[in-house]
Amino acid sequence: MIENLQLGIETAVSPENLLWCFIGVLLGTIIGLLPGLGSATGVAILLPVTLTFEPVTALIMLAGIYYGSQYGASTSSILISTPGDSSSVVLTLDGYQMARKGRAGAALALSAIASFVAAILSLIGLITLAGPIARFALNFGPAENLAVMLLGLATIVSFAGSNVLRGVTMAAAGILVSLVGVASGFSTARFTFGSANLLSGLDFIAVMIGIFAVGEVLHQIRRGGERPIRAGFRDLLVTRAELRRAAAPSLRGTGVGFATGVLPGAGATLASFIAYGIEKQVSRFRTQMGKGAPEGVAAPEAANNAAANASFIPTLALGIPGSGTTAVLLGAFVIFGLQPGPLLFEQEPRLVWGLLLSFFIGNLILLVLNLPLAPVFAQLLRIPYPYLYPFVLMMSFIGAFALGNNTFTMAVVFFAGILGYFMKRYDFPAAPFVLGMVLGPLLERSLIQTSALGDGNLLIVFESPIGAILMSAAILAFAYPLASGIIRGARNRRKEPQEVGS
Amino acid sequence: MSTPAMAPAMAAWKRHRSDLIGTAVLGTVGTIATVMGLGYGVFTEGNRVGPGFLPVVVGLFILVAAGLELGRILFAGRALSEGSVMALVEDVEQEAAEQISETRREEQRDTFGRTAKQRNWAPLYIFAVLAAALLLVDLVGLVLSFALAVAFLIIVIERRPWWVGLLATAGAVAFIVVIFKALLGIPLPSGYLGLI
Repeated sequence: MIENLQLGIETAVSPENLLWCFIGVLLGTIIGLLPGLGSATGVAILLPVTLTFEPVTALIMLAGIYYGSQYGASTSSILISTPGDSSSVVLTLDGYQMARKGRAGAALALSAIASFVAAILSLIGLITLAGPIARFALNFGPAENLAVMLLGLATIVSFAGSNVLRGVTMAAAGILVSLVGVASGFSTARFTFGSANLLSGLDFIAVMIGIFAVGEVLHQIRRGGERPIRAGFRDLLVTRAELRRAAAPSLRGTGVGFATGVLPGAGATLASFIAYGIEKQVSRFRTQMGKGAPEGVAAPEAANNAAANASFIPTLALGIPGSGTTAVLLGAFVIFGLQPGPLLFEQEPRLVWGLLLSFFIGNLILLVLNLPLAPVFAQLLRIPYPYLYPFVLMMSFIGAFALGNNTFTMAVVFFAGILGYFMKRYDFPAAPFVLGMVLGPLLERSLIQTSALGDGNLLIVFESPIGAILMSAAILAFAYPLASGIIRGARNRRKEPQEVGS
Repeated sequence: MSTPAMAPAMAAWKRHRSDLIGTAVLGTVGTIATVMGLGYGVFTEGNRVGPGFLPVVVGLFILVAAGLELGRILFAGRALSEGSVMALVEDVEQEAAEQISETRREEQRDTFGRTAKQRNWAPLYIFAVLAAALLLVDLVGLVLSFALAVAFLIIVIERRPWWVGLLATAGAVAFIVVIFKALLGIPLPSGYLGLI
């Protein structure tokens, strides 16, 4: 462990990696605060720019964009009540109310402090847990891997809320899209409809650029923009009372965020909602929540940062993305010829530990950048969006071309953009779709291997204790929300006529 | 003529038309995947998983889930999570959505200078411009076609001063050429005209 940490520090503090870490978190902050450009968008459109980098440098920069955007996204939520990223939607409640009461700077400072505390605590958790989980996962055979994939998909159901059915349908649709092309392990072309371009499948990053960059930008245009509330340097002073009130919610938010972030499919957005919901129930100041309470800023902000870091645990240790953005990052690993999963820790210790240790440096840079400079960043919200979005669209398409050096990739971005726009507009969740797309090929490979191992009998997955436990957890995670929802629905329907009758 | 039993379904259709259409589209995709998957071969020799196995399983899954979702929207009208832990999350989500839409109502026109009606149409125009840019790539080249698209979006769609639009376009082109052509060495197609 100590050796790994030393190796990680040596890698992370090399001048080149430090520079790109700084650029990554700076770009992340800017991307995060601009409405319509979330972390997944930023990673997707800037990935082509890193193609000539060393893999570790590229991943340090791309990861910096991810967690940097968690800081930046809160600024637009607080100042213009328009979330820069879905993970900061909940900040529009108390953050924006604080801003309206003239405490914009304090809200920005509180969110930066809560983010930093959560980031550091969750990074300690990440570094402590990722290695042992990866080592444990080295014992997994095809059957256990199949069980892990199914558990990953099942957790999407658990966290899909009222969109349970919609969430699972989108995950399944993502799997279907991943199956386009010549089947792995077979020579059959599937869903190609006679197109030679589709034989090698749909480029994952191109689909992500379409859904997240093009789709998000156009959705933002449809929603319209707001004028920001001014935040001055002088308002950044947080009162001692505000800090005291934010301390416990920050720690609770960190715990909730970490626990949520390690689960595939849950992600930072859900973590922030849960943390806010819990705070509304347990806080001494719950009656002030929604009216500009510091607790309503600190808890969700800590939760989304902790979740963003924790989502690297399943991504790096198991190869299963914990969120939409880590799914895009997983695509970046593949582009650099790396396969995230337990073997990565054995084969690429310099990369893994360098990346993890760079998170500490990145978060420190972010605190320094965001605490005193938040009002400066806020000025970026004054850049007219009509000049910004055409550039983002151009960058998306040309970046997609750079990935495959063919114009077909741009057509994929275009159609994925249409899909992404309608998914956003009609509230079809993108995260399960993305997770489905990532897990599809892995799931099929495990299925083929397990089927070969069991001579056609897939039930051998229950034969090993680990497989049986994971499968039981998957079945429970899948069936419980559906069954309990149906039972509650039936109970409520029975109650209603009685209430009407009484 | 609709029976009284069908009345809630008709009301749900009016309220959730887009949800229903989206879910029906997904159901259709599931059906197509199932049928095509059967054609690929679900099992190979020795009853092992074949190339059609996953498409059939996933297709059927989508079909059933879409069917259940349609039934839920039309007849149950209730979220499955009501009263559960996830309901807590959705309450917060709803509250935040209301806060965001409240600020939207405060101003008739947004910072783009568009009314709500104009905002609805804007994405369609932009998609049309992007489609035209993609079609022009073979003729004028990648950079030039997207430069034209950027200029058109800023000057025509966004109605900004033409000289600012041209300056912004020139800046975008310079950035793209420096990053992708000069630094990354990516051969960006210059089309039949061969200009950039």
